Amino acid sequence: MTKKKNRNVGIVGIGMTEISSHKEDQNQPEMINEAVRAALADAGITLKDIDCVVHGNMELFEMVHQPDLWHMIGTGALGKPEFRITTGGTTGMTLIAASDNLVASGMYDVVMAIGFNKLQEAGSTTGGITNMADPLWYRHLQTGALTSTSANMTIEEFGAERARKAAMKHRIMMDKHAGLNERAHRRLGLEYNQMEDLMKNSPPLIGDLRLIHMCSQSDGACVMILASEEKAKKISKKPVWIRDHIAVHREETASNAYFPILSENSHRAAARKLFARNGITNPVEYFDVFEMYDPSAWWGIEWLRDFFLLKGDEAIKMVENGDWDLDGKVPVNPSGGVTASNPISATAMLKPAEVALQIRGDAGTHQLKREVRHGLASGFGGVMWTELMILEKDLNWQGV
Amino acid sequence: MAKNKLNTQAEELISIQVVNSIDYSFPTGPIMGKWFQGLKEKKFYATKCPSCGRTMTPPRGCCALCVVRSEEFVEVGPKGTVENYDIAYYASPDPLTGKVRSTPYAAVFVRMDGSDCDIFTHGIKDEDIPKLKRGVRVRPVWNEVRTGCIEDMLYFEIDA
Amino acid sequence: MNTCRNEISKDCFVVPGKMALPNQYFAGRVGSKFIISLRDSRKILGVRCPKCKSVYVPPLEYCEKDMTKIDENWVELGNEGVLTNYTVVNYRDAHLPRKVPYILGMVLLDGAETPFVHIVSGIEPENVEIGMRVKAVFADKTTNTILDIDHFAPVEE
Ligand SMILES: [Zn+2]
Ligand SMILES: [Zn+2]
Repeated sequence: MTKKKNRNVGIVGIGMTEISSHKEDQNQPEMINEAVRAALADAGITLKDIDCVVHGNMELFEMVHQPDLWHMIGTGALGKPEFRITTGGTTGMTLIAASDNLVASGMYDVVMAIGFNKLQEAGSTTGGITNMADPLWYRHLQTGALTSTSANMTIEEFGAERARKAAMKHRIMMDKHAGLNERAHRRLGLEYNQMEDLMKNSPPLIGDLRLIHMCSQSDGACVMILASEEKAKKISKKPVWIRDHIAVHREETASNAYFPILSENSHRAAARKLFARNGITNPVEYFDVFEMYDPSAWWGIEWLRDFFLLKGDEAIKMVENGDWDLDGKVPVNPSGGVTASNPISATAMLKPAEVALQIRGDAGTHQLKREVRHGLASGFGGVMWTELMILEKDLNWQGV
Repeated sequence: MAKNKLNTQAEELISIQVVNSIDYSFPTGPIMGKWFQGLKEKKFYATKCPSCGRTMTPPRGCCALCVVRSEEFVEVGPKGTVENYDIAYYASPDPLTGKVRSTPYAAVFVRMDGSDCDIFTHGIKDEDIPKLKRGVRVRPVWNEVRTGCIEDMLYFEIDA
Repeated sequence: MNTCRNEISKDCFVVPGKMALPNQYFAGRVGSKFIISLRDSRKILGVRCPKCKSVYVPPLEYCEKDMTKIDENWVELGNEGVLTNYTVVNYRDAHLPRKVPYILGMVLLDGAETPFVHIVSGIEPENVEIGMRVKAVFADKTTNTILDIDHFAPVEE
């Protein structure tokens, strides 16, 4: 299956709020407005230049329904076409995928995508997620996004000691990355010599999943402005091009059995199909950065294997070797990842946003030292729903 | 974050706390309904895809791989194999009651004997939690009173 | 209850369920000033955009039309205004703030540009008229919400 774009689409504006656990001084539309203004300023355009707005969150968390309606006072969508998208944890990336399609189709030239969640307003994020399980037969047992099924399988495959060390090393590496990113929410200042202590003493949540492994509960908004090639070149000196993206769903009813039941999980299926149709045979070699939606350190080490189509202990070995570090083979999550910052429906947009900033060279304090030309970003949510997106510095892949 | 000069001294920020509580009713439809009728009779039903032949538990009215109706029921179980499990030390609110559960409790993801794909999730007897392992065999423990709901089954226990 | 239109409908039934979750909402810095003014000074405040001159009540931090920062440009609106439209709530439901029947009105406060929704009381539903003048009646007990205005009542002329 090949996918041909009607026209190229570039990212021309990126705005995000600081990600934090406390935003008592802003209401929802004000928080969104902060990111909207930042994105417009980044693009150097005004609301007049925006043709369409795409808005999304998981409304279950704030329990405010049709937020697109009353957020109008913050989104700037007054008098413009607007779409609303909500696809669980993937929302942020689906917003970008949909906006890309809206521009590529020729429907609109400039589209603004807004993703946010204000999880401080959700009394219990985990309780909220529980409501996504089938009410008839699974809601009574669902444990939100907290699960140790991934840990169970990794431990079974590689032994408890190796698996636990790899997960903790990944977690501490993420925290070190977050430490460089002034917008990251949790910056704990962890050191590798704390591994043994954390493996033993971090409070257990579910099985081998401990508090330290799990993502944060954050407030924040992310806004990205996408434009057609012609407009993008006029608006921005360095537009970042969206080369391709893919969505893959699972089909089982096991709504929150977060482990592969079929032979191939949705991440591996997404990577396999996306790389094949783009002629990418060695993703580890090809990509200069990967921003992964890693809701826990256990998932992080498991999914790296899937996204890079690795086998056996190749991915874990790369964790052990520091190959995913900022100066490694493929830097993973220079932003600090989801364990550091998770304003859920902004989270999956922060992934391509971060990649785009890295490609532009505008990531500031956490800019990678290497040149970043080819970036990969993933989103994850709900029933192992994967979004995977390739971003490029140059418009030069069409011949591939 | 935008700093604002509205009020320079420590300012009062207003918030409200609410418990949003909404009652629902969920129709089972004929396929899940048959599954629950089965639980009432201590039986587990799967649907069988007429095209690829696989059996699905809990049953689905359509095979997502073949995209055809799958309305033929076959009996599976009652025993099964634990494919994975979650032992919860962190108690989240039970959204059906709003109450917080006591911990630890565990969920087991069970592939019922005779079911080709998917898994059925239920609890495990508390005493069996320390013995949980992938691949362990389990059998259902039934509720005395069965009304056609998930609580018709109390939990799984390890099939020694 | 059996509503399946299907030959296997005998297996259909309905399971009761519930969703109960705690939430909290923040008015933000600008919204808080508005509520505190209602509560402590019994004054309805709005903000005016210096660029397009729009007046917003409840107030906004940034003008929704031109993104101008407006949250320092407070204006005191009168506590009176004109009823621009209304509806009579006749159905009963647990979530409603008043016993039915009651009137929900849109009040264009003096000096404001867009109407403000609140309860209109002190008049029988059959006597309400669009265009009548109403005034804010403040609550005796604060709830730190918009219901610190208890309702709007007709201005006696
Ligand atoms: Zn089939
Ligand atoms: Zn204005």
